[in-house]
Amino acid sequence: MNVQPLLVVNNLRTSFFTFSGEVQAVRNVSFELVDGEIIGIVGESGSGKSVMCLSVIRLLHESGQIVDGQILFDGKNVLEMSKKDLRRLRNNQIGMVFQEPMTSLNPTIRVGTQIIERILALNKQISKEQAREKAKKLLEMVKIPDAKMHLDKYPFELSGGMRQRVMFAIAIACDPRLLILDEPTTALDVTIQSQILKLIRNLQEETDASIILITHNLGVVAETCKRVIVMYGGMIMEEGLIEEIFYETAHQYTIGLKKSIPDINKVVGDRLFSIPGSPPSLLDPPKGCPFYPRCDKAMKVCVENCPPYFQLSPTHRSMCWLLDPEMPGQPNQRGQ
Amino acid sequence: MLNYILKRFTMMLITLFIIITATFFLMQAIPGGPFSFDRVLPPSVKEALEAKYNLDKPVIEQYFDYLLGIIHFDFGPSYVYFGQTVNEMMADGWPASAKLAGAATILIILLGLPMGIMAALNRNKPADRITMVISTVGVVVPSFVMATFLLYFFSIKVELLPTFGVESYKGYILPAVCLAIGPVCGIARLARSSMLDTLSQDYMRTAESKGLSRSRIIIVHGLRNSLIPVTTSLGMIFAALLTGTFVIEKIFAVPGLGRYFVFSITNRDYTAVMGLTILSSAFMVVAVFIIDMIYLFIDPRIKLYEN
Amino acid sequence: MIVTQQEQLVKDWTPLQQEDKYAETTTGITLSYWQDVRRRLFKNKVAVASIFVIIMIMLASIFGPLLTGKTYDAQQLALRNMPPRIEIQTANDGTNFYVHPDLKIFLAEDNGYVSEELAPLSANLSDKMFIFEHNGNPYYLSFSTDGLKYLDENQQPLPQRKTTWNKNYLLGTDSLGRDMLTRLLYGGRISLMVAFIVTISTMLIGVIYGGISGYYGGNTDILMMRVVEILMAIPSIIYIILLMVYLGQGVYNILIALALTSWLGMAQLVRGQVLGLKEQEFVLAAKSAGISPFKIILNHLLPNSIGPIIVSATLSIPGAIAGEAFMSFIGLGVRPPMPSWGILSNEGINAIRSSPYQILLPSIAISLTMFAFNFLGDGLRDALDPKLRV
Repeated sequence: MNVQPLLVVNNLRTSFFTFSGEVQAVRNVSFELVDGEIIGIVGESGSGKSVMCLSVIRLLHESGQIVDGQILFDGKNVLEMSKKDLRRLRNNQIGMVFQEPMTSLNPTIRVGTQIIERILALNKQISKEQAREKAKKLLEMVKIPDAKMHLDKYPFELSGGMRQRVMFAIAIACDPRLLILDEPTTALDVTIQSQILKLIRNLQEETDASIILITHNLGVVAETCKRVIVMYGGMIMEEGLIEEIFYETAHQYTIGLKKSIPDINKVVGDRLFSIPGSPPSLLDPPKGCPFYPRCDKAMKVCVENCPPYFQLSPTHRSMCWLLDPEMPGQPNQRGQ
Repeated sequence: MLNYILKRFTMMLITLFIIITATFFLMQAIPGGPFSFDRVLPPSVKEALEAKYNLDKPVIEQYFDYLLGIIHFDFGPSYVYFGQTVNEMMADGWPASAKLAGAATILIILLGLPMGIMAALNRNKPADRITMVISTVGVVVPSFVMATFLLYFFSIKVELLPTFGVESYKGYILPAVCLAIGPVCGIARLARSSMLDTLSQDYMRTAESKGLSRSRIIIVHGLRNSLIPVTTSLGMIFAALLTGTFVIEKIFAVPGLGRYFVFSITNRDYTAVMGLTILSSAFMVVAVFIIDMIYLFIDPRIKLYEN
Repeated sequence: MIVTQQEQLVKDWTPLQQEDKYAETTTGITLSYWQDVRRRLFKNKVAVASIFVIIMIMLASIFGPLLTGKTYDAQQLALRNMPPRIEIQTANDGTNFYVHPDLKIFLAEDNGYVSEELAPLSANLSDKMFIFEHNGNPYYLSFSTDGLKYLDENQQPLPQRKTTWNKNYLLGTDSLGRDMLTRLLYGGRISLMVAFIVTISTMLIGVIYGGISGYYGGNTDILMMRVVEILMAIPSIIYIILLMVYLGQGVYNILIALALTSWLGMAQLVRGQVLGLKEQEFVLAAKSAGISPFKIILNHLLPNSIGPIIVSATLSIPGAIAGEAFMSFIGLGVRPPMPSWGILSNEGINAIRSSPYQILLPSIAISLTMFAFNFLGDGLRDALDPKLRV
């Protein structure tokens, strides 16, 4: 690739140090992101997807620590940045939208102020009126009607969907190069969800930012993302282009996720599919593949050893012993 | 919003009215009346006195007379210090109490609030632990017990401050400190837990993700929300201040309203007791009303709740 | 771990049977709620220490006055204001003297026991001296401005001086010659008794009032809570003072006054709890089974809200102790000569310069007791908090 990637994450390990011990939330994750890409990170609760993205901007809870690894944003080492540079990074280059619109906005401060303060934070030249004008334009960009009036409203005067739009406005306020969206639709109604997804696509076209979209819903990813990362148990299970993930699925977990998407054509009365079992304990993660207890194709080797990544195409890799050419018997199972 | 103000104001008036009525009738109910206690008066003198003070009129009439007097800010004559009115007693004791209460309030705000917030920002570090220990002591030990300890150390063992009286400003230091310790520690604990609570909220994370300066995050986002529960407790803090003055003024011989109150009680000066009770209650009730108004400015959600 | 190509790895391709997959880890032995509460409470060292202190104080208050051999109101004016540690002077011939702050001399034993008073023979006021006689020897007590001095027959200062514990009255006497120890212990009885009875009645009144208000809801609840709000708007001290002026001094009166004014917070608490629990299904089940409201409140709602009630009650005990002490201090509580810690504080404050122990002893007693109950209450609150369950 001759284009330098915007974000490079290498062998990231993030853990939370609690009374019960070390919770290994992110265990050796590596990936890259170039300008203008929309990448989806899919996984269930506890898979480490949110923690990984919080690690990128070093916004972890006080008990959390990045134990190992490297994070390069635009070539600069994020983990060694000074507090000032980190603030600049967060202010200008990276915008984040969180999962809970109800609690992510300060209830005692007007919506407009919460947008404007970001604009004014590190930008000394802009005047208050200019900032206010920009905030109004941002609200229009996120399709909030009567933007001028809404600037002076308090968060509790807005619905959940509107609040999430405000969060988007805040996120894009400084023309960031990267947008991290942490389950932006999970807390909202399904009808609002599709509106927000449309908004995301529009924003990407208009601002040309790279987007990391975190979700547990494979369907959401199918609508919006070009590339997908599937995470489980703190590790990346599979990574590839959206077509590869859906039509040439190379991991049992991904297969399970696909099966879990409710099919509107199913007969009424049929049971919904769910992957049996529950996620592994991150206090004492298994030595081998984290998914083996729930995998119906698991083998003895899966218990003892964590599989390496097998590259199926330049853009497609998967962590599964089933892909090992040494494996006797049937050829690699894909797509089912 | 007007609704809210009106509702609170009406509550204030009703409460005051109930206090005045309750106090009056309670005093009336005391057997014997003010002139049969301690003194042995010949019946004719007693009757003359009672006539003079209109005590021979029916109770209801006395009640309305008293109410009328209160509206004109006349609390009646003292039954013990003949010739002196309760108003005069109040005017006499007012300055000292005001200075004391004022000094205590300044201490509470300037010391208590920052203490609590510093503790929250340095959670579990030595500064926090020490603050917590000190504030636990201050909250648990009653003010007059604290006063005796402090008096013993600072006035007797170490002859730093005067034992009693207020000739110099020094005379105000110990009583103001003793009065303020309880509330200071209470506010500190409250501010700390409120701030810790706020710091763990999602919107604080959002503020950090915007790359705002640390001071802005703490002051604008953190402080504003932490102050809400603290303001709510201000009412109780005032109550503690009020009741504290009785004892502190007695211990340190500060010539204020509190001391007058204790004297009046001991000497069974009924009009004075009534007047001072109503005065203190009025302070409380007005203070609560003012706090409710402050609340309006700090928490915009009030407008939502009140609709 | 990601395996590199170089490592020789034996890969066992046998499919895994269901049983070989590690079972969902059990989280260990599960305890019932109350077992967990007890475990958490006893892990809290401060709370356990507080329980111990409280038991000691209670035992001392109940049995102490019987064991001291003195009563709380017997006066011995000759030995008034005697501190717990006294100074004994030894003369050359081994006689011990104790000089009382009132400038009287007593014979004393080596161990500090004071016996009889020696009457002075004469006084030489110009030289500021009293002259005493014992066993034929004259002794001089000089009380000039540079302090009290004992002089022997040659008017030289007596050589030996020592400080011993007061053996007659272990904690000294008060201004009327009454035994401080007995008064302190008996005062503990009064203060603790007031605190417990007030707390129990607070619980009773508050629980009944709050329970009814919460259970019936609607207008009943609104009305009942309005009343509580109005009553709460005025600091309770004012009520207590008014009530005590009306009722007069005395232990039982202070009990009534305190009980009548401290139930408000408990009522609000219970009402909140009941309102929350009311909506839960087990209450609905009981109702549809036709159980009377009273039984529902008693058997279903109360046991589930007992936690916060206990915490609130424990934390209100120090308030009741302070309340009684405060009222007695300003002269409206217990009637002397019956002692309570407040009464002792009231009597002691006047002598803070000359006999500081008279006020320090009750102050320490009050502080210690209040700390103990406070820490116990905090410990109970932490132990009962379902959110802290591991």
